[in-house]
Amino acid sequence: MEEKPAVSTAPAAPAGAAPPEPAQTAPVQWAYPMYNYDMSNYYHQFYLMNSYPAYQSAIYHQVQQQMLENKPSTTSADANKFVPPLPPGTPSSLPTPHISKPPLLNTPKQFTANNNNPIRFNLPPGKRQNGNLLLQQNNSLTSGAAKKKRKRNRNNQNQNLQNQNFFPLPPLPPPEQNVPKPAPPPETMPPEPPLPPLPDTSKPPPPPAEKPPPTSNNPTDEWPPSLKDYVNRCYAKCKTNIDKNQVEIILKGKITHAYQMGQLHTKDWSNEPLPNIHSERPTLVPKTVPGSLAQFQNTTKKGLSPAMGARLGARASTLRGTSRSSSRSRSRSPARKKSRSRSRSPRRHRSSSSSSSVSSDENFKPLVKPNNKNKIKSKLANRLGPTKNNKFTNKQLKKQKMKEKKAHLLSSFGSELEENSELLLQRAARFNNNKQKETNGLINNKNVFVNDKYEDNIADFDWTGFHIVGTCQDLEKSFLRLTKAPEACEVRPVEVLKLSLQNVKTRWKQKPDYYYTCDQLKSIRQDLTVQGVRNEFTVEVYETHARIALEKGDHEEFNQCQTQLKMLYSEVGGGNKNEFTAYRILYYIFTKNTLDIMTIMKSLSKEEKSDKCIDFALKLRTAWSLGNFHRFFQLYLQAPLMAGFLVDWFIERERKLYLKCIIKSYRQNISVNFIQQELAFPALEETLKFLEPFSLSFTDLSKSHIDCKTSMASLPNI
Amino acid sequence: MTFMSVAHYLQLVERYWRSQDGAKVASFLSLRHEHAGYANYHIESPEGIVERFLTAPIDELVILHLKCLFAISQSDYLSAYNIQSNLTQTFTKILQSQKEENWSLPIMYVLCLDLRLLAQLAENQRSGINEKPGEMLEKAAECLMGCFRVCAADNRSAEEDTKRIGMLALVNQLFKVYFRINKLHLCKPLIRAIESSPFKESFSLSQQITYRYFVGRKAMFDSDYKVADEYLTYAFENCHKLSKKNKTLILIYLVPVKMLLGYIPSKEVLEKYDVIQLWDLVQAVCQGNLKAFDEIMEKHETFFIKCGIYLIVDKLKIIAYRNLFKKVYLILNTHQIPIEALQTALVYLGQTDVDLDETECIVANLIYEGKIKGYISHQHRKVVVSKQNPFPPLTSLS
Repeated sequence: MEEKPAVSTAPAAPAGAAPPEPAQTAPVQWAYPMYNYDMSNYYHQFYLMNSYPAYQSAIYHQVQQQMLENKPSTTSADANKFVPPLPPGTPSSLPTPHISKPPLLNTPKQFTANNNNPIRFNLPPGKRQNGNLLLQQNNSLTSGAAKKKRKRNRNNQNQNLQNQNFFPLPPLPPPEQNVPKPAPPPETMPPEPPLPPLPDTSKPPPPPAEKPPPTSNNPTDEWPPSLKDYVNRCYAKCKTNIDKNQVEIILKGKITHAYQMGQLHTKDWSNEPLPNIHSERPTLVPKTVPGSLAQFQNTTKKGLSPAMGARLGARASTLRGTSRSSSRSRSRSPARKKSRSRSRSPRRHRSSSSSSSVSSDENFKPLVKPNNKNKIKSKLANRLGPTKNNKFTNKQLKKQKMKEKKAHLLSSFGSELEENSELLLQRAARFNNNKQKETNGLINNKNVFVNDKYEDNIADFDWTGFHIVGTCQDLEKSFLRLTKAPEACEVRPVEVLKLSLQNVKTRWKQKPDYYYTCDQLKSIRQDLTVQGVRNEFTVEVYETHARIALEKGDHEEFNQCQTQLKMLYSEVGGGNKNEFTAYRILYYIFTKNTLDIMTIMKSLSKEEKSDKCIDFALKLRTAWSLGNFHRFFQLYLQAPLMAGFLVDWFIERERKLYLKCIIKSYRQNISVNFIQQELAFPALEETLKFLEPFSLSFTDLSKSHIDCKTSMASLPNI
Repeated sequence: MTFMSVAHYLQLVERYWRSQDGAKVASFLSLRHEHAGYANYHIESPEGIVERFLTAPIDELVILHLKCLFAISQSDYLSAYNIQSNLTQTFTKILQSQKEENWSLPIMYVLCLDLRLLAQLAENQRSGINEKPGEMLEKAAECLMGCFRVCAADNRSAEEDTKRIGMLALVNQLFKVYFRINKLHLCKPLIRAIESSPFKESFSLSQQITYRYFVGRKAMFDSDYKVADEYLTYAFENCHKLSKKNKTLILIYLVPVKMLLGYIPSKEVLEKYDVIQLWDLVQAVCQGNLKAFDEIMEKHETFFIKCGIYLIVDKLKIIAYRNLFKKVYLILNTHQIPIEALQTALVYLGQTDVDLDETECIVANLIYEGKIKGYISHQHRKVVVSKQNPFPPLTSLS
């Protein structure tokens, strides 16, 4: 949010038509405030995911509104042009059509669920947050058609607001032009293909969107027969709507790409591999989504930026001579703004000229455009660019930006409400395409379908078995709860950890500083967990920490350790298993958890029961449960190993109980010496100190005897 | 020997599915139904024949069902479990898509029951190799939870066709799993869901009995004896008289709980329901025969622990102390009972390591709990009991 408003709005705008660089940087900044992305690359992707549909639908609404209101003006013409395209194509991709797809009811849920889990865990650092954010948003908004409608209305309203905002200001034209503009993106996006084949450009994408057969006066007519055949084959594979959508997206990508590369007619479509479809790999279903997401991350990392850079660079040289290296930091500067807007204007001209074709495009696939990125940008550019030129103040821009953002969210969700899962798939597919394009742009790679395979590979990758191996050599490291996936350089390998443990132990012996020790041990534990190390050494670490926590009465840490130890013993074994089983029983006495005591007892073998520690714990338990305090305290005095420390945790509680019991059942009086002996106090002073707060009555001033009868009144104090 | 040709079977399934006869379809999808035993139903790849007769969505269910039968016929319970799990999940989706109707609930009951049974079989089959016991059952529980969520979330339908009426059957299945894998803490949310359900009283009696049996047991484990008594008593009293095995199971828990609260079962009841082993325990406690009590505890330790009643039976020793001391009191016929006398009795009955102080402590605790009326005079080493009703009946204590 603290971003310089002017810049941030601007970036989004210039995109498509404009110089390459802004295109890349733009989304970044714009998205930045929204999602707090820290890596421009990543959120570039998210930007695509999120805002794209938003814009689409936003514009769609605009158009609709205008049509509804029968506003004359320039728009009407455009609007009219829009209408025609609709019929030939199909309704499928428009927001409304989505409603007609409920049959998929079941799948959506599955997908959202799948998305959530794996993503949360799989996403590498930094990205995680973003992913979650995205998903949360989707999830939270996914319910109910009613909501959807509401949303849409709100969108419309927003749109109105937006428009109003725009109108009063100089740049009236932009909003209207937006409508027509959507079309240009296809052409705009690739630097080279520009004007000549204009009609074609817009056409190729739409057809795939629809059923393969549709012909009539469609763009398909211009396709080579091999392509038509290919498209038909692709659709023939589809079993569900999801498949169709996916195929549609992929086809769009391929065809657009081919077109852009001028290969539409030269490409050997008959040998083109068929796209992978969803229902063909049912076993992969749970993994698919994370896989594709992961892939998309990769895209950002390797594929996208260099590719973009190359593409942009080429263009930049022609337009501005800026190098691709100028990145987002620079893009914020005012100078950049100017350059962007400049480059934008020519673009606009072109796009408006092709408005008709554009509109058809728009109608065909509002949500699922492979070229969306460029498109959005161009649209934004159209809308915002002029505004800015006409000296918007920062504040105004900020406001506008906010509004727009809201509009994005609302509209995108509005249209997505029902088919979350489908959309997710679509998005995933869309990213494939983007990547294709980018890599292609860079290397001119013929293997357009690399990503499909790639995706599958990734999907097969088992993330659960993935553990990093640390490289950090620090002997000491303090504990910090991980909020992201760990970096190898921050994690210590086992060899170092062994030394660390030794170090902690020595220091503990020299100077028992629990705070320091606990901190160190926790971070050792964390490093082990992160690296998936579960062996004798792990046991040793946990035992050490459990013992120290035991001694210092840190219940929480002790419980964590003993829970882990329980699992570790069953996995890797360990010589001190019985000792810690005994502690566990005692711990459950402490927590009065009879249920778990029972569970432990069920699991004990004869040999284990005869173990000194366990035997002690069991005897103590019997005495405890029978209210045989005398025996309980006798046992306490003979506690083996560190069991005494654990009993200390609840000795006070039992002492109080016994004291109550004594006062209630003994008459006339009882000597404090007896109490000291029965409650296992080491000295008289401590006994008196223990008795002091209960305001008992004593028979004499020396407090040698308690008057039980009169002390009955003090029972509630105990 | 065949029961019915597969084609005929498929036709019937189709007809019943179309007429929404949940019970009939359920029986045809059951692994325990007659058809499951016949070899002509053990088809490795039934897709072909099934798809000739059935359409979506039922076709997938039947295909998986037949595959599962095949896997069972090969004694491959692991894959049978996986198929059944797949089947249950598929059905869950169908169930979810059936808005405002609950006729298919009987199918869910059958599938879930079979799933749990198969999980147990699979668990045993694989227990030799695996390191994680209970894993299959845990997976099954997840699957059941899927169904449960669908049912619990169905709060829009009218009362007569709400799926929420199916919740209790699922909860019971889940209880069975959780009790088996010792994860009783997972029961709590389920209990809450049922207790707060508006259909609490409209669930079928059999389900309610099962439910109360498990909740009663859990309460007992949590040392909440009053609640345990209430639930187990309901279960015992309402359980059908011919379900002898179930009554026996209930009694194993009900008897110790009742005894702790002061009610002693009659020998006839224990004999009738085949829990005569408990009679020894009853006798030992009533007579205050600590020796016999200890012997029984040792002898049946495994059984008590396995049932989870060890802790509560152990507590009966307090009752045994009380009864023993009462006997001493009656024999001495005095209100001032020397601690030595009590200690002698204890030592006589095998509590050889008990000294005077410990005896005092035991008495003190009994007085504290109200099981003996009186006081201890430590100076004189005597227990002075009340002249009126020194050993009040346990049932009068609450």
